[in-house]
Amino acid sequence: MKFDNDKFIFNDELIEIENFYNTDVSLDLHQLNNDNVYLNSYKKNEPYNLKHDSYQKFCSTKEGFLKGNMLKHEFKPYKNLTYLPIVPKNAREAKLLPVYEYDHAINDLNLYLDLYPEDQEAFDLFKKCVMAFKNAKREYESVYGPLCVEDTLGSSFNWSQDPWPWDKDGESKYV
Amino acid sequence: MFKYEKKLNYPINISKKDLRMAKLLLTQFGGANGELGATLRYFSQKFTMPDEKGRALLNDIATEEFGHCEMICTMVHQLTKDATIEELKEAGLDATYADHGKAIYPTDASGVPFTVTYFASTSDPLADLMEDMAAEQKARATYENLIELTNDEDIIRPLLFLRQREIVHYNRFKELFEYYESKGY
Repeated sequence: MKFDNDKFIFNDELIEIENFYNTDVSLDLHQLNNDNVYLNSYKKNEPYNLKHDSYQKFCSTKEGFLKGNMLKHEFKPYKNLTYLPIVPKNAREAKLLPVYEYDHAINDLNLYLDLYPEDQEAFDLFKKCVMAFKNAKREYESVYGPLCVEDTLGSSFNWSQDPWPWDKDGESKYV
Repeated sequence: MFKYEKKLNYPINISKKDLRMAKLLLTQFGGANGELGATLRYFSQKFTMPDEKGRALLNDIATEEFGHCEMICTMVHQLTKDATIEELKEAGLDATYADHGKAIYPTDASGVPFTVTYFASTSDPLADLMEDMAAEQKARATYENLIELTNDEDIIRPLLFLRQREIVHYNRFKELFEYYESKGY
């Protein structure tokens, strides 16, 4: 298997991508700590909480969505592949992308908080993500129709209307 | 209960037909290491977890895995929906077409139908969680195999996302396993 250099961004360019995005609900950005810092927090039944100036526990929601995880230390790239930014190609995708990002952050923090409900830092971030998600969802739905059936409050029952998420939306792509 | 949000977990929009890849991707729906097995496994095990951490975690991961099933089926559907009969024959999908047309049906990459014996549910917390950790590693390995088998960026992106999700699930299960072990369950 081969990959062209211009198709995938390699690990040493990750820092650039982080600075490119404006973080929205996350903590301030710091340089990535290069030490191997995976702690055996589960042995002490404590939440993962490394108090270190140069370490950041959570990704921004944008970065977390591209990587697939909100806890920074959990990211394990596959070989030399890593994420590419998602660029919306039309207005609908632009309004839907924050909904994807916040929904993913909520889900990932949900799984973490299931095991560490006393982690206040994680819970505060979770609540911020929920508020941002509700706002983004409302903004999307006001133009493009309901995402949940109980949000079908317009003048017609447009819940059942196309497109459904598995349809190929011919003229638009994120990539 | 389960509700539906009219979006996927991660956007999928595949522009190039690839019938060979569609046949292979189907294994993550109906195969031994696939998302359908994961959903049913965690869903079945959640009822007999010893405390609320296990109940919550298994419930929430099972819910997410069902969304992953939908993602895999979406990829297979988008890859095959515009295929001609000739293209299906060339990709070795004519036998599948005879039985299922272009429908989505839970099988593995060789067409072996999904079977519930792919997973166990024992009500022993350590046995169940060790099974779950193994399942997540198998799923991660299968995603890596699938990534090796294609060069299409539109396919690799969601596969990388799903692979990372398996790693996160493994970490949560491992932490819960260690916690239950320390509790003497």
